[in-house]
Amino acid sequence: MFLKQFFIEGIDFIRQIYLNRFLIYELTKRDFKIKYVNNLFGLSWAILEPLAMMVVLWFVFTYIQAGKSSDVPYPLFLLTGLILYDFFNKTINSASWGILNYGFLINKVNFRAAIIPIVKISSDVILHLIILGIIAIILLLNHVPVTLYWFQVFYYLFATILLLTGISWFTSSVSIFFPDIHYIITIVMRVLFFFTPIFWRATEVPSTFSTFFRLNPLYYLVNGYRDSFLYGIPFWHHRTDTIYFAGLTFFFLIMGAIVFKRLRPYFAEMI
Amino acid sequence: MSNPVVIDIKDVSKRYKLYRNKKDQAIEALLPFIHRNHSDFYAIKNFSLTVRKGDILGVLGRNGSGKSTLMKLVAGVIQPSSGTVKVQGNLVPLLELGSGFYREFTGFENIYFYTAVLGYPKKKVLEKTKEIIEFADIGEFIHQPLKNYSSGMHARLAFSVSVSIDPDILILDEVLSVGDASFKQKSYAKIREFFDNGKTILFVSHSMESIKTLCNRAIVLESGKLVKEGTPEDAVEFYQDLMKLHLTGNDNKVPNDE
Repeated sequence: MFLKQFFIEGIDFIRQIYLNRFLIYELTKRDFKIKYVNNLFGLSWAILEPLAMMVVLWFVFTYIQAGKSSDVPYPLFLLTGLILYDFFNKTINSASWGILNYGFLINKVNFRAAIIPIVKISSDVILHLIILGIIAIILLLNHVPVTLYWFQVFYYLFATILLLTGISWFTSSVSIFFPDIHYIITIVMRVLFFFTPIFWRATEVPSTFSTFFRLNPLYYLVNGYRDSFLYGIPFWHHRTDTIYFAGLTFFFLIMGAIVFKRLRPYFAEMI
Repeated sequence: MSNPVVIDIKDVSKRYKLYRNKKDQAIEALLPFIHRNHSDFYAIKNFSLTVRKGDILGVLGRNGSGKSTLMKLVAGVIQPSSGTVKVQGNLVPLLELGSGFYREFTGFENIYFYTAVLGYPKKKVLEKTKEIIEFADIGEFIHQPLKNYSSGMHARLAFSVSVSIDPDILILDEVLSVGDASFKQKSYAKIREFFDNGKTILFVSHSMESIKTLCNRAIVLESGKLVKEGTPEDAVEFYQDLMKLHLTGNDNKVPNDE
């Protein structure tokens, strides 16, 4: 009974968000603008920053890993995984700060604050789409064949967005009371950088540890990006992983919605 | 007096639990059955009030008497600890200066930003843009970021945007006090126009003259309680007596309503 109550509460919460989609659109446009309004070169920094990071990693790991398993050129392997991690890392941070960032509104106007993490995520997605475009060009220049599977990244991107939404409802609302959570996020994301097959290959993991690594939802997403861009593997070939990921995402969405709803009345007093 | 009730405040209290740290507060918010040590502070206590359509209600009270908390409760920005607040119709709250405006955006961009947050689609606001800019009358500053505004300009823009979207209920919390004489005149004329159209306004001000000229009802708050309700003249007189009491040092005595 208790669980059912929670469940209904969560679903209703998500329905309410859907009713606010117009405001999400308007705020996202503005959020994207806010981020770059103060820079002379605006958006170019946002694109240059991850690209610079990629070039460095590319350079470093190409020389370290040179000659290893040669199914796909290593730099391309690295890039396709790294962009997903980079997007996830950046977005979970910006979305978790969302409520505090929008304190100037929460204090003064009554509106559905739960859309703020979604606004933050959406505005990061715009940038990610631009970077995906750049990656596509890099792949084309390297003679990677274009297949219909390329469009499967949008499935994995959508899955990422849902997971991020659930997590950031939780983190953004809890951070109002417990700002330390931002440090926890930083640490977790740093650990995950090494536990996710970004610069190493999932096939290199001894099978005894394989299950452990697959608990990490980023494992599914990073592999998914590569399956789409490089290997042409559809997501339904990973049935267990897909079901696990869907379950985990659902759990985070409901849990995030409930925690957010519970803490929402205190936002204006706490900020 | 037969106008419908648009704001119905029933036995509302707003208790702030003063915790020693944020962690305790988070734990109590998430797990209501666990109690942590805290002391209570009532910003609003056992407050009941009905406001009818067409009322221009003046709200008087000393600093810290609970006026702004009351306005935030009506605006739905904060939730009452007990009791209910019911509001009929769309409400635009102007709580203090710069409420809901983004400092880095120009005044022009803020027009759309603020109205979007209030739930008005851009299409509806577009046709009113000219009117808003004209009424605010801040010249070229409309294309400057808000952070460069004086508080007067800020108030002009905020007021202009808020009245242009034609809300049923408008909350003005000390917004006009920074405006100059000419803007005050203009905005008072606008408030009277609202009155003629049967709109409702909650008007918080320390200017007793404004309350007397604009409002048709007034209340006085003291320590989070409603201590006087009546005509603006009565309320102002009561408030002045209250102020005198405080000046002479009899802080604990609140004059009796009768």
